This record gives sequence, C-alpha cells and structure tokens, in this order.
Amino acid sequence: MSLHHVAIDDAAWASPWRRLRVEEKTLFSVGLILTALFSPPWPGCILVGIVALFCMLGPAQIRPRLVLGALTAPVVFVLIGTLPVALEWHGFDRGMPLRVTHQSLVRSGTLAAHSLSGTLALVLLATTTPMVDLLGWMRGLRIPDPLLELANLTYRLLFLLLGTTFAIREAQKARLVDQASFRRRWQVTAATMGSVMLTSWERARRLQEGLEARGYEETLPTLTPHRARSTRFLATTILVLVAIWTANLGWRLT
Amino acid sequence: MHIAEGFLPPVQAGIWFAVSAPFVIHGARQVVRLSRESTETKLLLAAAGAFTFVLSAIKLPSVTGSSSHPTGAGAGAILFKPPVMAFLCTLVLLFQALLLAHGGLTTLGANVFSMGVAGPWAGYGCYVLLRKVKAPWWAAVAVCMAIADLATYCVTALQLAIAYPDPQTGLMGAAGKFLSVFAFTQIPLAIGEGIIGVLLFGFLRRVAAADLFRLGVLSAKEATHA
Repeated sequence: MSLHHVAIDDAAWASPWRRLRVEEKTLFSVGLILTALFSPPWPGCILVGIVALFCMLGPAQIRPRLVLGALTAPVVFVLIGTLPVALEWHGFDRGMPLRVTHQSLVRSGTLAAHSLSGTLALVLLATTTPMVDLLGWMRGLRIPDPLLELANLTYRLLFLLLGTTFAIREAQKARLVDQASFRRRWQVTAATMGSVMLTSWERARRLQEGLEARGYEETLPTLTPHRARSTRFLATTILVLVAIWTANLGWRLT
Repeated sequence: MHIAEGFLPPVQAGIWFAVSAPFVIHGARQVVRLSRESTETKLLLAAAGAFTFVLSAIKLPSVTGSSSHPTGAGAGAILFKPPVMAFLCTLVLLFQALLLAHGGLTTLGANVFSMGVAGPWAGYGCYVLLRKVKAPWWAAVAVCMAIADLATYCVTALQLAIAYPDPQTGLMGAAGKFLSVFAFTQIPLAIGEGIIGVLLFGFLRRVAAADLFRLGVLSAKEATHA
C-alpha cells in the first residue's frame, strides 16, 4: 500500500458527487456490481465497466492516474486467480499435464470480465463516497451504536497511524536501513510494527482522555449535512441499469 | 490475499456470507459487551482495527522480490482472541474494499471466513496448544502467526476451487492448482510472518509488558520477568 491509496478517500471528499445522497450512489454502484455479477461478459460486464469508467472520469471528476492506481492490486489478483482456471489438468500420461483449451480460456475470460467490471463499479463507490458518509448512512440501518462507533474511531485512527508508519519508514530510509543486512532489516520491520502498535494504543488513550473531558459516554454522533434527493440521478440509475439488462436480453435473443 | 469483487458465483458468495455471519455476530456481541464495560477497551479495539489495516502498509523484506505484507490475523488472535478478530477483520476488510479497492463487497463473506475466522482460529488453536505443553513463547508465536497465514491462504484456495472445479479432476485438481499458484508468495509470507511475529512480540515484551499483561497475553509472573 502506498500514499496513492489514501488518495482514494481524498478524491471522494473532493468529488462533485459527494453532494449526492449516499443511498443514491450506493444504489447505483451496488446495482452495477450485481449487474456485473449476474450478466454475461458481453454485453453486460463490458457495459458495466464502460459506465463505471465514464462516471468516474466524467461527472465524478476522478483523475485517470488514481483510477489506474486503485485498479493495480485487483488486476494482479485477477491475473493470478484466473491462471488456474485457464489451465486444465490432463495427467502425465498424455503429454503436457496442464493444457489451455478453448473452454478453459472462455471460463477464465468470463471470470476476468465479471471481476474487473465489478471492481470498477466498486471503485466508483469508493472514489465518490467518503467512508464517514457511508458510516453516517449506516446509522439508519439499525446497526448497534457501539459497532458503528468502533468503525468511526477505527477510521479516524487509521489515517493517523498511516501517517506515523510512513514517517517511520521515511526516517528509516534516510538512515539507509534498506541498505542494511537482511537480519537487520527484519528487526527494523518488527520494531516498526511494534512502534506503530504502541503509538496506536497511546493515541487511543489520549483520545479517550480528551473525549471523556468533553463528556463522552456511549456515542459520538456527528452532524450529517442535508442533501436533497436527486430525482435526475435516480432516474439515470434506473435507466442505465434497465438499458444494460435490455442489452443482455437483446443479445441473448439474437 | 483477498478474493476480488465478482470472482465468486452469486450463490457461493451468498453461502459464504451465511457461513461467516454467526462468527461475525458472535464477535460483534463480544465487541459490544467489551465496549460497554469500558470506554478504554472500545478505543483499544478501534486502535487494533486501525493497526490491522495499517499492517498492509508495512512491506516485509522479501527474498523473491515480490511485495508482501503481513495479514495480522495471528497477532490479532493472540492479543484480542479469535471472536473479536472475526468482527475486526470484517471491519478491516470493508475498509480495504472501500478505501483501497482490495477485495470486494460480494466476496466479503468469503474473505471474512478465510481471514477473520479460519486464520485466527487455526493460529490461536496452535498457540494455546503449544503454551499448554510449555513450549517457549517464541515458538508458540511463530507457529500461530505462520499457521494463521497458511490457513487463510489454504481456505482462500479451497473457496476458489469450489467455485471453479477442474473439468477433468474436479475439486481436488482445482485445489491443487490454486494452492500451487498462490504458494509462491504465500509460503514465504507465512514463514516471514512467523519470524516477524517473534521479533514483534519480543519487542512488545521488552517495552510494553504491562499492556500484554492487561490483555491477558502474559501472566503476572511473565510480565514481571519481562
């Protein structure tokens, strides 16, 4: 993980789509994810991918480099994960034990299409909706307060800890730890993990003292900005999903 | 290693949600109980969740040149016990899906089962067993961390094999293929996580014995000695 991953959350805060209601964006993204899961690769999955990419790079104003960075890890997993599907086991008695057949290629291609289009739809939600907004929206889903509270506190602490981790790494690089012996590098990695863990406990204690001083007992509700319902966005969502499913049906009938 | 979005067929994704749900609900109840006991515990759990997430930012020195990072499932199981880890891992996996695009929403149930249930329980089981037979702490920690990592990887490979059985050899053939492909990174990673676990707990015993005693990792005698 690098700093560009944190930039996904930064992009979500800065995106013009942040002004939209969380439930509307969730409906759109989850609708696309489910469409990618249930549709055939062509035209369903391809259309989901195109719609998600268009929305991110167009109206949501997400930088192409950020989208590329966010997709790197899932693409690597998809490549590694589809490899065993592309290879069929035929035993040692008839030449090459592992072979690529037409069917296995189709299966792995289908799998890659489902996964990549679904990931694009997920990235659309991630780059347009800050986690704080999602957690605020979840309060309405009757999830117990202590659990949401824990999620909120975790979210607030993790950026602090990421900052600390990167600072420790930078300091180590400046001390040329990367050039040190293999054994020394392992010790330094363990010390980094230990330091980050102790820092997280220390920060948690200080946060608790600060919150208790301000009357914190059970919950820490935050104000959620009022966002008007966008009939246009809802109508577009339904239209896009219906269009993809119509294309699926049309392709099947032809 | 998390299963990416859209990688599992819909029915199987649903089944994994159903399988993981009792463990996550049990963990959530534990978390609610602990949170109500004291505010400090709630903040400590939040810190643990954040720490598990941040672990993926710490790269392990790699022999093969591949980029590997610890999962933290074994360390979390020793420090906070497996039921709590089931809920914390769910939270971390949700954050990883929505903040890093690692894993996915439809595959969350399967990922929770491998990383939040199978890994911590397998690792913690070995840890308790080794501590009971009076094995040295470093051996118990190393085995716990390595087994937690290996169990996560084996369960993930099995989940993928169930989803995509080999047309000729079925489930076993597919399991063999997935295990072989992931073994290149996961076996060195499991060994690495075992070593890092020993160094990490050694560091914590030196500088934070009181915290380890409070969490029940060290006995009073061990804490005083450390």
